[in-house]
Amino acid sequence: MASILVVDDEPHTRRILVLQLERAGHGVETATNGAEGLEKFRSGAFDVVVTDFSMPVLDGRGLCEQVRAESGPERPLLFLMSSQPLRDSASWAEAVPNLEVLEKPLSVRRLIGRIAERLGAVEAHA
Amino acid sequence: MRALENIRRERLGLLLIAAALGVICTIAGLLLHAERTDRQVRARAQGVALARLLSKLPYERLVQSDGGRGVLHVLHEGQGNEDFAYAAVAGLDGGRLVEVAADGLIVPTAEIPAAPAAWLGERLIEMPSGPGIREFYAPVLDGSDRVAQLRVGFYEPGYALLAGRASFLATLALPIFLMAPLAYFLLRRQIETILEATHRLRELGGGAETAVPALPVTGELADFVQAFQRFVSLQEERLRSLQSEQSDLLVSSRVLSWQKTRLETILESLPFATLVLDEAGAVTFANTKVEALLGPSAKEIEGRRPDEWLEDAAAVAFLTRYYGQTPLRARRGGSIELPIGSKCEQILSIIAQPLHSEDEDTPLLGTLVLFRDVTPEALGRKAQGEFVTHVAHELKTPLNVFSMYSEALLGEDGASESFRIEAGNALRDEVERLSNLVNTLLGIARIEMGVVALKRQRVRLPDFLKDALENVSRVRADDLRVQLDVPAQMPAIHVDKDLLRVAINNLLTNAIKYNRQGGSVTLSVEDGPQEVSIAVVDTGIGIDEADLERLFEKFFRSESEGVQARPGHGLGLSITREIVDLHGGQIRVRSTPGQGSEFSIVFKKTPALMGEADV
Repeated sequence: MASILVVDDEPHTRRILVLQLERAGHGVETATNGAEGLEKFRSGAFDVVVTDFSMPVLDGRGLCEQVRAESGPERPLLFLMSSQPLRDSASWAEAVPNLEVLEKPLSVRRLIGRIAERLGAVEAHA
Repeated sequence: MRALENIRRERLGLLLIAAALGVICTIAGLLLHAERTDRQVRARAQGVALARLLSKLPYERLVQSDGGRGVLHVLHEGQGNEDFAYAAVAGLDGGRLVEVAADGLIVPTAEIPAAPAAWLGERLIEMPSGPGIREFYAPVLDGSDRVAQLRVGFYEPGYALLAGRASFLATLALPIFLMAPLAYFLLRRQIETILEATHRLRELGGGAETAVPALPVTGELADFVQAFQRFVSLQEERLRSLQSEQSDLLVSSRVLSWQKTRLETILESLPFATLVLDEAGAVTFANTKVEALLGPSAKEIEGRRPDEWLEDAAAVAFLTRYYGQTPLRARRGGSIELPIGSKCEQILSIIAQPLHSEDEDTPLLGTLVLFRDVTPEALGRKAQGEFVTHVAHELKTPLNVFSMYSEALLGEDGASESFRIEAGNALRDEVERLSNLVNTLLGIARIEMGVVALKRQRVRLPDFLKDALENVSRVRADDLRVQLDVPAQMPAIHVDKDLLRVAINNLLTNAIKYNRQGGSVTLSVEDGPQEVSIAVVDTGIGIDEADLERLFEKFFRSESEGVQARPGHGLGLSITREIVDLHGGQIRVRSTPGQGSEFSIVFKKTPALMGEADV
């Protein structure tokens, strides 16, 4: 099972994500904004980072770019929850390897499926 | 003028006569002089010859002892020189031994030279009356002794005109004298023409516009006059044409000057910094707003191309892009927005319109350039874009929670009682949040549309503010102190209760949100004689001085780290000011960065506020 970092300033969102991801068998840690998430990332080893886009201090874009800059191009897998329609996703997101943008409202079940699918693909590739 | 010309013409005739007389007199003078000189030469030659010749004769031949007629008498009767005066033989004592003389002449006495070297010579003897006598003398020798002195005298010739010469002179003078009137007649004919032409020219010069009539002349001067007349006619025509053109040009110049002034006034009054570039790209006009917006004055940039005074390379490239293009392509105008300033703190809109006529082949005449500071609009657009993003986020976040909890409820977690309770609470919170957000947005929309009408109600501020403080205190941090400082007794005021609650709520929410750990929020009321002031004082991060001016603008959020670290839409203070304005009140702010802020809502105690008027 994967080690997942959930970063969101919205407590209810964090709560339900933790519940569902743990139920799926993943190990989950949380952070309330991008800066805190970056600190958690640096102090741990995560397979997946699930983050909101709009957050105080450091937003989801800053977190994803920094994480990708400090890690390899494949791990961790990055999932960004965005309030913007997918077609409006900025080009910056396309430039970050292994970053998948998910439009709100999202299905946790689908998220878990995508994580399993992507992790399986990465492991198969490895 | 005519009289003057006549005088000049007659003077010419007199001058010609005088000149003829002068010539005659000169010739006569020269003739007399030559005659006199000739007589002098002949008298000298004859005198010298006679003196030498006679002195060589023996004394006895010269002086007849018997007193008879001697050689001198023969000489006197035989010589033909009209200037001969006398011939005499004088003794050494000066007494005359024999003499012959012209009629009426007494041989003058004269000294007999003593020295042998002076025996032979000539001298001029002045006579008491009449011309002087030139005397030639020589010694009469007897062997080597001088026995007598021979004297021969001739009159000094004067300037007398001889009869023979007079006829010659008259023959010469007559044709000369006759040539004078002839020359005068001929010259006068020519002068008449010239004078007439001069007169006509003067008339032309004086503004006469009549054609020059033909003049009665012949010969070369006629050709000249005809040519001159043609020339004058042409000049006259040309002058009229030039005068007409000058008049037209003067009118055109005045019209152009007026049009130029009008055009410059229009350009000056445009609400833009306005430049006009010429066909080479140099500035030909700049209104005063250019200096205010870009820095250099109109005089400083006049005649200079943008790259010589504009630092921004993108702006220069935009302004010069029309030059060197084909006319068809240069026809299209364009606009651009550029950040300028060392920190790109200003957004400049540049509109450039190439100037050309309708003819496509006409080269570019120049460019009209309008500059405008669109920083507020750009910031507004940016803020609006951010606002939309915020709203989308704020709307979709509750939906996201709905989606995720509902999905969980439908799954295995739905069987758990505790999860159902948790999900219910979460969903209720999100519904309330969503409702508040929608209400805020509706409130903004209503205020912006101007459809909000005040519904004044009687409000007791102590109770009203206490409720407001309690409502917001629920969301405060545990270590944040809140205080209420209101007078126990104060008259009720009449305000729109719901709107004022929104305004107070916004101020209190900000005071809590932007506070520091362990800080405080104080809500107070000051009931003055003229005003009622409601103040919210916090001990938070404060507001940068640069942000104070824009604090109440819609969507404005400070770029400071302390503000960016906290969520918000930049609408609360904007709505608060709108509400206070609707009540006719004022909102004031004082702040010290790092120490805190104080926002005051001040209402004047008007009859409407105090419930003393029909409202």
